[in-house]
Amino acid sequence: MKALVFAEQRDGKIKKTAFENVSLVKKLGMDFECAVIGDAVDAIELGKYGAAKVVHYKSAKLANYTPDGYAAVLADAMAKQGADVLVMGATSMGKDLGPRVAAKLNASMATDCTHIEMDGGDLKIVRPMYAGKVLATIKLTSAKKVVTVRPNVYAAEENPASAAVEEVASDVDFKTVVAEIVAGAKGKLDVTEADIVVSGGRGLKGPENWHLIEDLAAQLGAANGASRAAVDAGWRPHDEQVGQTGKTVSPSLYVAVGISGAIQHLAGMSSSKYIVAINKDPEAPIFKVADYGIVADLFEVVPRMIEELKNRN
Amino acid sequence: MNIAVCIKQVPDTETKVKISDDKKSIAEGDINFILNPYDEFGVEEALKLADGGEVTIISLGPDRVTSAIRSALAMGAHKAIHIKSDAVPADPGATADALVAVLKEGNYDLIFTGKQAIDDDHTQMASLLGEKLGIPAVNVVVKLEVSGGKVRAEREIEGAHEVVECPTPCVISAQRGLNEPRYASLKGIMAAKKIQIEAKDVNPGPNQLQIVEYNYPPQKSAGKIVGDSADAVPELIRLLNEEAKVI
Amino acid sequence: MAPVKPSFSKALFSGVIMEDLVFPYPKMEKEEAENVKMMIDTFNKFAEDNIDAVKFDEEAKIPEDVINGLKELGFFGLNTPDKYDGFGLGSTGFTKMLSAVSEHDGSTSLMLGAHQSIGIKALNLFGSEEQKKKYLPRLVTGELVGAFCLTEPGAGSDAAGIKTKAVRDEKSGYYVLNGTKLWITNGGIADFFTVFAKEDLEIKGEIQEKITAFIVTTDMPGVSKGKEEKKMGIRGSSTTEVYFEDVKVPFENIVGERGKGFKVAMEVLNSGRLGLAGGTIGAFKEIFKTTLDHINQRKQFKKTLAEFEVIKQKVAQITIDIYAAESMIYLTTGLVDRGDVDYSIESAMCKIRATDIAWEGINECLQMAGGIGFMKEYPYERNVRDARINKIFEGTNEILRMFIALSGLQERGEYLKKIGKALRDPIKGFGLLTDFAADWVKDRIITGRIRDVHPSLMNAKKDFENWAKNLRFTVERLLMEHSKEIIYREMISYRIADAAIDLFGMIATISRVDTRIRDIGADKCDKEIKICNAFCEQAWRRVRRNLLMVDKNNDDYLREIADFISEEKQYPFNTEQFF
Repeated sequence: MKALVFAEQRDGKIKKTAFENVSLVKKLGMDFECAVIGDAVDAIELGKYGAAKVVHYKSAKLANYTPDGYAAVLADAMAKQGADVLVMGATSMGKDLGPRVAAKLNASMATDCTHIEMDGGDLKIVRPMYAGKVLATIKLTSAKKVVTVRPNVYAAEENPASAAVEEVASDVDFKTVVAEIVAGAKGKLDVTEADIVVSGGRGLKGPENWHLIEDLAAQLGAANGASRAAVDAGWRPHDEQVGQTGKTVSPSLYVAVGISGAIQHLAGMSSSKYIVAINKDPEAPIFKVADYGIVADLFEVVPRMIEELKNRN
Repeated sequence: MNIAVCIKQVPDTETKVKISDDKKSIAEGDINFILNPYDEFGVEEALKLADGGEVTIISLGPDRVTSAIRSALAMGAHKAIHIKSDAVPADPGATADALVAVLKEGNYDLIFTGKQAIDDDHTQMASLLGEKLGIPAVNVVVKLEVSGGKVRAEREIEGAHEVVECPTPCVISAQRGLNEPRYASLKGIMAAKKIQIEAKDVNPGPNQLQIVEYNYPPQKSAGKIVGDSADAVPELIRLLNEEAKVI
Repeated sequence: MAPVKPSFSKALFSGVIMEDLVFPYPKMEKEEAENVKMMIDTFNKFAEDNIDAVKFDEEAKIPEDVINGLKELGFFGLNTPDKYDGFGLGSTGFTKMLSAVSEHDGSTSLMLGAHQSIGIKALNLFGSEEQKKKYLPRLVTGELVGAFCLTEPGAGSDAAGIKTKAVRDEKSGYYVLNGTKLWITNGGIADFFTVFAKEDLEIKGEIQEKITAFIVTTDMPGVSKGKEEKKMGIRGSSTTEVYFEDVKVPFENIVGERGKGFKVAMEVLNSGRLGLAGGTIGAFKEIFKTTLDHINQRKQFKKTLAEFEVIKQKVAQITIDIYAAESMIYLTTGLVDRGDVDYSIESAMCKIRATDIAWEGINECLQMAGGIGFMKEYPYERNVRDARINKIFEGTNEILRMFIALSGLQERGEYLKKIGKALRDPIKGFGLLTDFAADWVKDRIITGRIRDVHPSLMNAKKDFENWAKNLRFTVERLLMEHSKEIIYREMISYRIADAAIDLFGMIATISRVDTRIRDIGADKCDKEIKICNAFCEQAWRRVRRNLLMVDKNNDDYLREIADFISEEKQYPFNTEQFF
């Protein structure tokens, strides 16, 4: 079974998920090639992680993402590069693009996979459902397959190979264009991409105290998250919400500040590698999933953390 | 504008999901089913944009899904089509085929879905429908303008918003933030009862996704309480650094 | 006269089990059930965004925009017929709604209940077509908010003792109303009052004071309100005095017949009590849920609280109590929705049982939470405060027990009168009394029985039949022994009432579980069968104790001690003597 790893790029830079996925298919012992779509792209980077062959579908028109344009190119790439399974990151681009390619190839697709293994020449895939309350082990029975892998689950392991990058001029028609990208708050890191997430909840008592979360996040190089209670109260924008009706995250460190841990919040973050909980209620369910907890007033604990981290940095 | 909204009935977020004994399915016994929360944003947006046109609700599933359809009708939608099926196929591609067959019969300027269903979390439907219908699809939309056959949609991506432009007809998957869904008023609920839900038998496409088994995620055992005051902070930082090695 | 409607409990006092009234357990029409589910969904969504029980309690107010939101969505028109733009819920649907509202906030539930269960209920039950057309459409939208004005400074439980006076002026076509009403729920926000006042009526050539019900609106000059009362619980709800000073009320605003106001008030309260019972259980279930989270998380001695037997006992008892109380409530609302049954005793039973077990149970929830339960930061203490009033208003649980016992005794008394005048004249009626005794003996063999239930419930069924029969014998003996004096034997009446409540609880629970078994099979009802059997076992033992204590008791001592202490006006026994 041969894989095609789609290496997502933004502004010409290959995203980390692509390196993770190269490491993954290597680990699975799969025969694979990479595909890159865009204009000027630093595709050679993929070699660092062991990619031997990269096809760069090049076009100025495709510098920015367009779902129908990218889908057409990728569907052709699957045929051209002779791959059976398309592997991509479960990013906003991957989730948008994957089903389109799948539909073109009559393929079935597995979204947001957290574990993949070979099972007698077949892929055995684990993907969370119900925001992580259930893990489904599935197989895709179609001839061609598409999988998107959750970022941060597999490590990107350096494994240098000399990558041969073949450039192919691409020309496709598409109806959907990205007119502009409106950046969020300056340099704002998204919770789904961050390696560390600091989230606040109702315990913060109001938006005026959110600087505690922001300062702590800044010290840790983390993204800001929020519980549903904080978002519903209008303290934080909804794109920060972690949980079943928000975003599902699996960072290496998740710091829950003043969050009690409703089932729908736990569903969105309990697959984090390490969880720290700060809450003054010893009965808060968040402590059930936390690796480390401090049972105390967050208004005393968090400033102290900021201070200690400042001293360390 | 005539608008279709494809909705799904799902267990509510408070549900403690139970796996059946054979591990092949989710036990439905005590589940409280609701209209998928993201679909509500789709219904709301459709109602706001319809402007004299009709909003049609389409849903696939067993008889129980009519209650989710009623919820959407109670918000103010005008028509509904129920694609009868004993169960929702495991493969979203199969469901998409059935929806496409029904969507093709209507003449819709816009088609809404939720950004994902909170049960199986496939997050595929809008793109599948777009591709299978040969029209654009924009996912995870938080802001939408439609005029003169053109759509300008802001969709959420990592740490930013992408502004996407495409012509109608197209598919939009709605994300929280797009609007504030209205509550179904009691008047709306009573009016919805009078709307005939059109039942259709459409064969779903081939199921190419096989469930091997369902499992619960490994239980995280409760960890260490490092302390009960701010004095525990240095120890916490030491643990994160030396034991967990995450900072 | 309207035909006498059958009453399950009154018949029970005579040893007759009207099983067709209680079997099978009533079900809501599918259509209405669907409507109610959707209405509850809407309420839950609205509540999640808008109902903040902690804030309402702290600020002693439900914010105006929340009230307006509820009005716009239609929650002020739940049980008014669609003919008047309402949503036509029957008693079952309405009670379930109030129960769902109470899961979020007791004050909000009370506001909606006071408007619909009692505030505008008299208009819905007894109003003329003109009155309904004039007011209901505006009450349904909440443009007008209703309140029920019965209680006065001098007339609480003794509602017939009200002093508010209505003087009729035939020439002008108006009454002039004067009086003060106390502790009026919704007083501060209401515009539409159902007011009970006395007027002079000539009956058989004699002038008598009789109660008449009136519609009074705040736009009538002379209506004014007192300040908001400061309350222990349900603090978000509005409670004020309402004053009527020379208020001119047109004749056409009489609700029902002149002089029949007391009956109007009692009918309204009969149905109102069911909403109250349902609401009480809704709040109870919610705090129980919170408690269950707590006991499954909190560890002591390396075990969760839920693993300790003392906690298990509390959890099981609360479960059994809620199950039985809800069985009673929704059996009774089913009787109301049939429309042809006298449910006055059953609704009083539901109110007593629901508010008693909720008071006990919510305190147990607080107890299971331990120190946390006592802290303002957690919802336990608020729930305890909110639950306290339920045992007091819409008829104190004591008064309602007297009502149940005396209604039952009266029913049996009427029957006994028919077979002889034994009660009035035991000597003259001696012959008849022996006939009656023979009848009694015969009945000991041929007993009232109920239909066959599922084998798993057979013991419960037999216990019910057995103790129902005993209730009847006890009642007959009491009537013969005490005659009319029985009304002064309140300690005995109290026990009779409690026995009857437990018997109704037994039959309601048996019927519910038996009907469930018929619907889905016994193997799927395993837990419910156990709950039913556990409840019935507890209940018949209480019945036995109560009936035994009709004869064997210390009531004489208790009366004497109480009289002595009341006279002393303090507790007089000092322990200093031993120091």
